Amino acid sequence: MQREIDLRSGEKPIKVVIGMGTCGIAAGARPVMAAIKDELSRQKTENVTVTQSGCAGFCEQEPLVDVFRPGEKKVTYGKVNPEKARRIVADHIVGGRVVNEFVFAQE
Amino acid sequence: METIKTKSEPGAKRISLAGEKKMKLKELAEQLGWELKTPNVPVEAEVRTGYASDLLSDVLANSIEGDLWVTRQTHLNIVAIAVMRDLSGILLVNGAQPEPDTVEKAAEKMVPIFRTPLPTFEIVGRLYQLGIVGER
Amino acid sequence: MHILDVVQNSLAARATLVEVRIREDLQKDLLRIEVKDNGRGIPGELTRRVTDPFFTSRTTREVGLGLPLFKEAAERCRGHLEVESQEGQGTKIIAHFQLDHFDRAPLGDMGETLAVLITGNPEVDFLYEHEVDGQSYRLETREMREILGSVGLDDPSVLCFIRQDVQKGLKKIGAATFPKIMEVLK
Repeated sequence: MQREIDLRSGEKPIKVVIGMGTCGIAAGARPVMAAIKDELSRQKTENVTVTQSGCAGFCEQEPLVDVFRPGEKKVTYGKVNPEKARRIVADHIVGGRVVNEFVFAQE
Repeated sequence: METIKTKSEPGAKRISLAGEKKMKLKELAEQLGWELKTPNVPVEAEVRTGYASDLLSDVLANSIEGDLWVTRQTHLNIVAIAVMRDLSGILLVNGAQPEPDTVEKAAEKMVPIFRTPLPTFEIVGRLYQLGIVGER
Repeated sequence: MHILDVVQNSLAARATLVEVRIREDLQKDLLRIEVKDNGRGIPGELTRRVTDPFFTSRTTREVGLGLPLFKEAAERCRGHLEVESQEGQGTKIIAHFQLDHFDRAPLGDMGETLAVLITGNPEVDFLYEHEVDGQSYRLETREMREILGSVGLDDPSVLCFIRQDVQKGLKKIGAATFPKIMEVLK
């Protein structure tokens, strides 16, 4: 029932965007995306959309992960690896607490 | 102190000169804080020279016996190169993790693999300070 | 890494079907990688320039270092890269590599690559075909959709399934090895 509601509205409130330009991929964005999706599944979250973006121009900070939560400013995490990604999912996406030590930029 | 250059063909045995610095892999690993990824492989080999390159064909062509190979390549092929060129060991930089089959084969072929979080330029600099040279 | 990168180009070109075909020919010592899409294609004169690392275009911003690096990788392994494109119809990238070349980068975790691509782009259809000396493995999202029914391709369990299926399938056909180089390690 929840899934149908989600599909109808087409919008899930929380969005995660992973940089998948050439530099992102070279820096290891693929395992990061896999880890995020896996952790989301383990945490049984249903209200998160995971998408990818191209090169943002901050190549030395890749892999970059943006987190948009409703009512919050966008948080950009830099130099993310699968381990950090899982913490970001658990602490920030699910728990609502920004993981400050991994943050690259905040709006 | 004069440094005498010995030009050698890749694969040739290098002549040991008086006054040349050499250190055991074990000592280097301890001093520079490397992680040993192949626990049961002996690390007593003496090292005098090193080669840093991530192009396997380059290492194949330009390394000499006993070189400590500094690279971020982690694939099983690095063990093949180390065996073919009789290298003393492989040091992975930037925190690179060797693949499981790489570690397994390295253990079988007695090729020590170490790991450092430092980048190539930095670790090679520190090795140079300890007397390990790149001349061949 | 290159395959993921090239497919990102196809996705940016709004492809709805991306076909990745890999062929390992042990007799000819050849590795052939093909990425074909039905995206908007590259205008005639620009096809030559997409492998130029200094080529930038406001309208086709998705062209970045991906293809130049892929081309370099192929040429380093005594191979080459071909770009075929028809504006409005799609693009085909074909790369050849000497299979047993020391500098030929390993294919990497194709299971993870495909899992990430498929689950990250559920509206797009993917076909993956990997052949090693006549034996093949095939993964098609069109088939998967039929099997999965109401479960979407972005369902978390799908990621795990794809990864495992690809890993098993490729292992079965003996994919992604360096046969002659591995002789050294016998």
